[in-house]
Amino acid sequence: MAAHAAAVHHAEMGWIRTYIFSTDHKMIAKQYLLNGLFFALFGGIIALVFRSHLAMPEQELLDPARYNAYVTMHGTLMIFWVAMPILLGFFGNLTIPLMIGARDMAFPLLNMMSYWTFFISSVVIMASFFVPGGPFAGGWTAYAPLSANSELTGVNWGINLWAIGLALEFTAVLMGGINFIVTPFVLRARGMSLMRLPIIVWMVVIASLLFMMSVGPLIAGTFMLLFDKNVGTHFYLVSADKIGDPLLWQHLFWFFGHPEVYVILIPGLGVISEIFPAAARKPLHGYKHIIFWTIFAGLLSFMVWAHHMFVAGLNPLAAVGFSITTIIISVPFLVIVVAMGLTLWGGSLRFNAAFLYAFFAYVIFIVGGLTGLQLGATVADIQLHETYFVVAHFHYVIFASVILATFAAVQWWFPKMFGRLMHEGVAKVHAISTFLLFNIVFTPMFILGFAGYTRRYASYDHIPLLQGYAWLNDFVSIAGVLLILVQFLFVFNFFYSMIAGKRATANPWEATTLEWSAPSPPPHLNWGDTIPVVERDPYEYAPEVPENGADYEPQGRLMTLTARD
Amino acid sequence: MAHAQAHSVEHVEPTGIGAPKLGMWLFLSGEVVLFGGVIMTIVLFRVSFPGWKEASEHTNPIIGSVNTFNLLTSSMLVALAHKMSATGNHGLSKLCILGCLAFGILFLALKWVIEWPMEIMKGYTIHEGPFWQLYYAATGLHAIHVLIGLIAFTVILILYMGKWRPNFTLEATALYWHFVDIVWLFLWPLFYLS
Repeated sequence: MAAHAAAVHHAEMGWIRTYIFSTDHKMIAKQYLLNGLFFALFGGIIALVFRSHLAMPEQELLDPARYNAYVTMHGTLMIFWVAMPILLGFFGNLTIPLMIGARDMAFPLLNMMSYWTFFISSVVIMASFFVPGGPFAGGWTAYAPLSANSELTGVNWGINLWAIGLALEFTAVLMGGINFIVTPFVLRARGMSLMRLPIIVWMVVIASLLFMMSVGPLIAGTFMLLFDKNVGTHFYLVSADKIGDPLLWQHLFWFFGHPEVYVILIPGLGVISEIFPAAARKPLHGYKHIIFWTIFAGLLSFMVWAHHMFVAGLNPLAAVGFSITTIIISVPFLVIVVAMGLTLWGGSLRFNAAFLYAFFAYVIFIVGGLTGLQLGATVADIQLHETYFVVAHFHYVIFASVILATFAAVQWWFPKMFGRLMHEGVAKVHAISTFLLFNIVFTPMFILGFAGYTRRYASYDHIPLLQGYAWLNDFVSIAGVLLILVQFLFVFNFFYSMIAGKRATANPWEATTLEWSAPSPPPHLNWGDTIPVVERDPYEYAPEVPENGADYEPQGRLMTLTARD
Repeated sequence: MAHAQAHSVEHVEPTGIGAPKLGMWLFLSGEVVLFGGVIMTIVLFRVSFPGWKEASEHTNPIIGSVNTFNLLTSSMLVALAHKMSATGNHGLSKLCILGCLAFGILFLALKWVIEWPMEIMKGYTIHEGPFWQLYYAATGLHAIHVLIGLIAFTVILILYMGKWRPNFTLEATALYWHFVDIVWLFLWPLFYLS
């Protein structure tokens, strides 16, 4: 009854309420996705510019100060304006209501405000490119005093806009996060117990919780930073007669920063866990283990932050403690990765493009995880800190979860967004070339790191010791340019398929979870005159005994609304 | 928004907690970490830097304590307002919200009109070392939270005057108000009684 009234209400809504100021979770998901993809491309092109400069420093494409600004903005944009909107804003908004059988988020208006706050933050951070002095140049981690004293980098307004943009972005994600956590707890369909929730829903909930529990101190810290820079307080800055604590910023930043790594990792693992069972036609191996070990990893992530500060003058005893917790945190991820691998084991694999993306993400993430062990050990970290080894390590982790898992998710859920399928062939070429080129770009960086290449140098020409590796560094730059260029395959595929892709049926992948019971694309409020009722666990694939010609059982079915509902 | 409310009642809420209440609890848990960061900074600065105790003797414990009384009373009134509203005693409920507003405004007036100008005139500005910059930052952040709460209660009271009846909204805002009160109970000893 209520649904009817609402559907009629929707039909009367104008273009602006449907496409711009929409409260529909699917439209907000698309807005987040497009905004994130725009910044992914933009951030990639920034990387292309500074790598070109690094390949031929004598051409002076950038002056050294600008070089650092571009490196800083590449990191800032990729983490906060690509990973956050896509992994939480897009994944959460698109999947949660459809997968739990709800009509929309618990707070649709808050959801809309979340996106538009994010949009304003995007405008603010873009504006920093056009102010005098250019964008912030103190590294995406914004260590004081580089960030708190504008004389050190020559950037003044860039810092202010960076901090304000970040605070706005955090606010947006907080508003979204409240929705992502509350919705699965209060709006689940009948029969959808917590232990029947699809894994991606769990992952977005855990990631949102981690974000909410860690971001507070950094918000406070950002305002203290603005005070130091603009009012002249001494929270972080030290001068002749005033005392502050520069390490305080690093503590506040990394107390947020490490959980943040998992915020932008866990939803990516969730996507892989969604696609693997459907590709292998087997139930997800160790469903409960994945959930509980992820929660354990999330809890541990609050106790490891100082492993980013081993060389910052930390007490060696504390460094040992943080080293131990850091190594322990590899245990939950080992369990998760093994569970995913066992899901594939013995399955009859369907090599569609979404599976390729997910599988490559899985492989790359394992390399990223293993190299993290070396950085977690204090002794090795003293050598490797601030080198290209670190750069390679975190790109292996983040590229897997943010970029490849996003491609997988877009490929997988494209029918639920636009009612069409993305082109399989183009996607496969894109997946394989991205995977190969990614490895060609970042594997040499491990070697460069060991050789002593320090991050954030605008040129290595003046360091005789490193000249033997100059060819390798140039090789990385050239491969990097190619890696960016093949991404246009995805851009083409995305827009081509949106307009002219093959029309999708409701369940093109023969998957089990609830969103595949809804039409492609689902109407406003998702379920029309019906309501889903959940009858079984999320991944009931049967590779051996196909029943009724199908080797899977949908998680629920749609029931017609009765007067009682 | 109308249809949002329509379809949120369509479902059973298996947790037994309404969405606004759960959302507010989550928001408050984020706020706990925010103020937790601030309080940890206070602790860190206090143990690292000399001169904290001397500086803290120049705050005005009388104003601080009166303001503690203001916030506690206002918290009690909002709890009463929620109870009155739940039992259908709307007239008294509105009166309680009005009282809560009055004590909240008194808090801000004491802080911003009397206390801060007095201290600034004595020369204790935000530039006077670790104690004073944290004093202004922490109590300022708290005062902004008080202001936001007062705005929320004003809106609720105005809507309440009409046909609208607050149930979840008043409860969620009351939760926020108690939280702001509790934060002050930490800041009060840290700045005024130490």
